[in-house]
Amino acid sequence: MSALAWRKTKSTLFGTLTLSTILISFALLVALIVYILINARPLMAMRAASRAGLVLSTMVIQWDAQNLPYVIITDFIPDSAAARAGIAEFDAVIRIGSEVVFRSAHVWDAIARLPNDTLPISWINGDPVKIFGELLPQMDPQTGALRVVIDYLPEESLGFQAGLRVGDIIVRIEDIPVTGARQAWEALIVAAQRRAQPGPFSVHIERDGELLTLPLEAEQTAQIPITRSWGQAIWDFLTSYDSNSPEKAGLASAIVGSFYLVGLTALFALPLGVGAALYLEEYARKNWLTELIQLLIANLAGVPSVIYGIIGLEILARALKMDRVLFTGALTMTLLILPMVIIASREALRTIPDSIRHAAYAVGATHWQVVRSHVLPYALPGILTGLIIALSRAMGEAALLILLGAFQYLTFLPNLRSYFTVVPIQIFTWIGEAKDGFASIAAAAILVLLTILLAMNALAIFLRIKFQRRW
Amino acid sequence: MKQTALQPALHAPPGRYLKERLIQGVLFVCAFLAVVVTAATIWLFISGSGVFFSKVSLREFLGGIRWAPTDVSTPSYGALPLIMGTLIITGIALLVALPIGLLSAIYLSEFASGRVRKIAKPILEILAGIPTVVYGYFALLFVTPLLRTVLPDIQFWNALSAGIVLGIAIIPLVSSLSEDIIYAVPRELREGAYALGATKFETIRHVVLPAALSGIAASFILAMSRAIGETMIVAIAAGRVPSWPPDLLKPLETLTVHIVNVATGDAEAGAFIWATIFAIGALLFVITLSLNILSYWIVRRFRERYE
Repeated sequence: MSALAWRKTKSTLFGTLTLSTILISFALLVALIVYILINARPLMAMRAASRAGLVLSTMVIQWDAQNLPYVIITDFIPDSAAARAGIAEFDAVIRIGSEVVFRSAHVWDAIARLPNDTLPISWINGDPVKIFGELLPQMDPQTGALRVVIDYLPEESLGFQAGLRVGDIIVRIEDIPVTGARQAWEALIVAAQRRAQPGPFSVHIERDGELLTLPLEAEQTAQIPITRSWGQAIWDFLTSYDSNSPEKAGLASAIVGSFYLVGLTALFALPLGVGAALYLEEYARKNWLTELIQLLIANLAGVPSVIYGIIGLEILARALKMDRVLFTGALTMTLLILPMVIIASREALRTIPDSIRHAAYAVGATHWQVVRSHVLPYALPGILTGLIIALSRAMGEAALLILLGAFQYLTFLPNLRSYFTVVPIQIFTWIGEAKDGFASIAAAAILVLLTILLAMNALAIFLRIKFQRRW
Repeated sequence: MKQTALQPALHAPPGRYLKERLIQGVLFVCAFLAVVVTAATIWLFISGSGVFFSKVSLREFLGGIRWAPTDVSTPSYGALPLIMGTLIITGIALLVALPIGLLSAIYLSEFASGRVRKIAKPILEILAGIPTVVYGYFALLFVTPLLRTVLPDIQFWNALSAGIVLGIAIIPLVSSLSEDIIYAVPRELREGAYALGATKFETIRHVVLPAALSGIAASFILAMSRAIGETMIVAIAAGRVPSWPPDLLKPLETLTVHIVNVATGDAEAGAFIWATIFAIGALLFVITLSLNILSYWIVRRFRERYE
């Protein structure tokens, strides 16, 4: 290759390299959005399950030095489809259809895959008394091994119906030796998870020295109607309060808090920001004070938001005794976005040509009349665009508000004088929860937040295009 | 800056002049707020740090390697783990953001056609508009598991993924600032280089980039300041435990995250731990403020003037 050809090739290679960096950024953006969409998908099934009365938790059985996960119902919702089928709090869910479920996430996956809106479910009663009655552990006088004896057995219990009687010694369930009262119930769960079909368990007992095998119908099955609808799921998610169960937790307080906060911030930031910009552009003389103000505004724009959080907390909330409430949060947020609003407003004011001002002066307007009737109306679209961009920053801001006490568990709608939470902080809280499902609702909340931001930016672009003037 | 002096209109109704002065006064107060806020911040940090440094020596604070303000029996206030944590996260972020941001800027200004530029720039801006909690989620649940396929020892919370994702978050900052500067290099300089027989790469390497160097440097410094002040990505993905010596694959804590920890903790107002956020905040404020002023100064001092 000649020297010239190599020099040209270097240009092409370099061009490709720079293009690839742009493509990397785009690929990352796409990966981020797709990943969040995928993670938010269980929301529909989670909501469908909780509306049907299946509020779940993943529990663990310590078994042969292993942790075996299983799913229980953690919340009894009266009059739900599950309650009508006879499912109660603490019951263990074994199967959805023919598939064994070990974690709540498996239940939601199975619900999402159902061919129709009927949920075939099987479960084991969570109250051991309703199955075996009261069990008494005792020692086998011959071998010294632990075993359990039925001490009391109500007639409506499943065990009684299977033929168990008081005084029976439960030896094994299927092939699992029974050694304790609680362990007998756990053996049922483990045995149920190990087999392919629901059906009676073989309970091996010793009655008067005789070994008997009885069929115990402990795994109950039912068909529960559920409503699987994205519209309903999203509505439920947006209108319910935070909860310890991810399938019941919603964004209501956070959304109201966010809109209150951003609206209030706009109310404070618009007059202050426009006022400062008008002063600097239309009134200020070129002197050291003006220079200083400009330098400070440029620097305040680069101060990290946690620093504003400290200012808001220590000066407004504590020294001025305004407390860590929504109003204080909005004031602090105003301080954060004010430099941005001022800078954007100044740019908007600068695009207005002097001929407009001169024309107004020529017909006898005072300085303020020129500004109010001519400069400001023409600059307003640009100012509003800048304001909306700054507000979208406020909408996504979490660090500052954590300091102002927005890190709260709220089950009411916030108002100006109340403690509050906002969407980004709700996301932060949910990311920190280990329970199955919180990652999914965090992703769903992220989608809500991104949708709001997209709408705000679309509004800004619309304003810019609709009212843009060229001078 | 307008130099228009206030002139009362002829035959002005009485009171109009006063009203004009009043309005000007109100507008001045709005602008003067910047001075008030800065002064209040500085006063707050000085007085708050006073409480802290009356109990902890500056030497212990800047030189100590154990940060344990919540330890009841033997509290220790050595901020080096936090400072190093911040530097490590910032370093990783800059390693990601600077090359990608700068090369993207070069592509947009030197290689892209007008139409591509018009579409690509706003898409890059979207990356800048995504809230940092979203990046934190991405780092914790996507990037860390991805890194684990290569580095099996990486922990659930770690510095590496937080740093990388923080870098992604500040790519647009680097690229849009640098692009503005590179785009502003006048066409004549490039054409002069072409006339001498330089290829496109040589023109960029020897003419355009040197001409834009001060602006690029300023954008790098701003990116650094932004990375140092970033809170949520690190709080979510890097864990919240101070560690010494810091390790890329393990959790660590930064200056900003300590502030979040105190705010989300259950310490009562007035407890000494609240004094630590002044010392840490003051350190953070001084660092970011110096970096911002430095970049402001570089731009003004080294700006190439083209006629």
